[in-house]
Amino acid sequence: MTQKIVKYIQGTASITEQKEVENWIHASKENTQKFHRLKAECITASFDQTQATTNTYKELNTFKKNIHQRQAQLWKTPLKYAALLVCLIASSIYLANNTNLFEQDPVAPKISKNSITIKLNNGNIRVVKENENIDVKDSKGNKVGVQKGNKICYKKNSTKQKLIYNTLTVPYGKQFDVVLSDNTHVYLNAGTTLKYPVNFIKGKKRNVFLSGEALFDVSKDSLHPFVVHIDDLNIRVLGTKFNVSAYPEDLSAKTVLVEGAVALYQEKKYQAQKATMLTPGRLASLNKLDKNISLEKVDVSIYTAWTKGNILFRHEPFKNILKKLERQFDVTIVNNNEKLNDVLFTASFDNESLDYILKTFHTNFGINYTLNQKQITINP
Amino acid sequence: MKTNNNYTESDSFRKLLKNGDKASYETLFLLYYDKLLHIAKGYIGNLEDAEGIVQNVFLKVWDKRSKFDRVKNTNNYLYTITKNACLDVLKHQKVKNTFSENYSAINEAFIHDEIASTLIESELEKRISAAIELLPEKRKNVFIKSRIDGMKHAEIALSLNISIRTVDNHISNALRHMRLHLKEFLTLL
Repeated sequence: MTQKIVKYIQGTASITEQKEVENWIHASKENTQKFHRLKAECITASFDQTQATTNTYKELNTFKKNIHQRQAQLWKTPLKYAALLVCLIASSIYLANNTNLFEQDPVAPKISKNSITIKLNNGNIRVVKENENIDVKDSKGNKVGVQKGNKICYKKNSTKQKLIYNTLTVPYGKQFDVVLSDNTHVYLNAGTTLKYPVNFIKGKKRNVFLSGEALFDVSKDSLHPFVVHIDDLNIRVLGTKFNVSAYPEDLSAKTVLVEGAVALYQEKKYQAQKATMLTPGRLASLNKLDKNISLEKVDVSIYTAWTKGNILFRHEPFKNILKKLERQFDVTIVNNNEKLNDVLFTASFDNESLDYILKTFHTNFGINYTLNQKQITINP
Repeated sequence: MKTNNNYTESDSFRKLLKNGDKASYETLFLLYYDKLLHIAKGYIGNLEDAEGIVQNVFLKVWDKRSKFDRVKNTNNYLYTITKNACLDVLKHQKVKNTFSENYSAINEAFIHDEIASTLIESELEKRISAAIELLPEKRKNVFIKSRIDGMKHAEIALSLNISIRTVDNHISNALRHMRLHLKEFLTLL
């Protein structure tokens, strides 16, 4: 009988044997207990069999995917709204800039998002090829400046009496320089858009609009204040050098003054007594949530290092570092090690590749990552 | 149930699991998966269902990770979830298929047998301990520091005066070796 029971447990008994064993089990309490004991012994003695025939690593991958999906589901809802918000903002800008909705832009759909572009006042978008030396023309074909490689210089034209705005967009992974018609030099970092007039008009303020990060070297002209407009903040200068970092996704907008003097104001109109004055070597951060401006003394070179291709982190939270690397190298970084987010790091890189930077973080801080083309995953 | 395992039962390991540390879930999975699969297969009598059950056991553990600090015994916790999941499947089978009603009832009674459960649970515990205990000394040392105590690779390298690469190697070898049949494992030493 024991043999038949073992066959039954192993699932190799015939149908008649099955019936026979089942009847025996039900015959008495003792039989049931004896069967249970036997089955438990069979199980404890055969762990190795299952182990030998199981591909645990394959199953582990399934498990990891399942976890990943769970986390993706948690993310889905807020992301959906974020995307909607971006669409809303994007479309409202589009509507604001295009008074004639029927004048559709014929070039737009073909433009890759990895190109540097100039949007002209009539809505046409031109792709700026890097390292090209050509004339820059306005929508009517008149020469307004020249492009020399990674820099565009606008020429001063005092006969113009109308403000014509162009918008220069630099995608992630690229940088570009523009010299405006007043000889103000603007260095644009990755992921930045600058709207500026092709020609500044005599007797009017020099207004430009920024989203992203730029270093301004403003030419002195005390009669014509230069004003950088970012969301919720205006930065007014007469002639000076300063860096503005105002990425839409960052929690604060930062202005660092290299030399000269600037005034920050949140009202529509500039009033000296209400403005915050910034002196050289100081950083002004505008908290986007409470709209408060805080000042602190900083090492200015950290904030302008990017213009020389250097990447510097000084007591920088890990999450900010990832964001900077994403912009700089046009990659997506997924951080699966959330506890690292607020850990502060200090590091300097001179024109190094992303690969080198990631390796450095790995060797020095034990941070593990996987690199898959343009997607980097920080592993726990 | 008394336990002689100081690794997966340590507070540090349970804290890692509570915090959703992915490496510790990998460790848990590699240690437990095939053993829980074996038990589930024994309880419900077919491999396919058992695979689904055990994947769900780990997902459930993951979903309830925030409560891991209330778990008194990791081994008992995993075993109990597996057992209950098997009971659920058997109840469902009984409703679905009257033909297997008898078979399911016998299995159900077996799962409820306390003496049998104690036997299986303690064997599971023994095998988990052995998987770690039988690692070569250095490898075991590095593995425990990393996966049980939650130390960073760089910290381990520093404390043992070895390179980070060596730490990486020790850990990946340890994970692989835990997976091998004990006999194969001994021949590798």
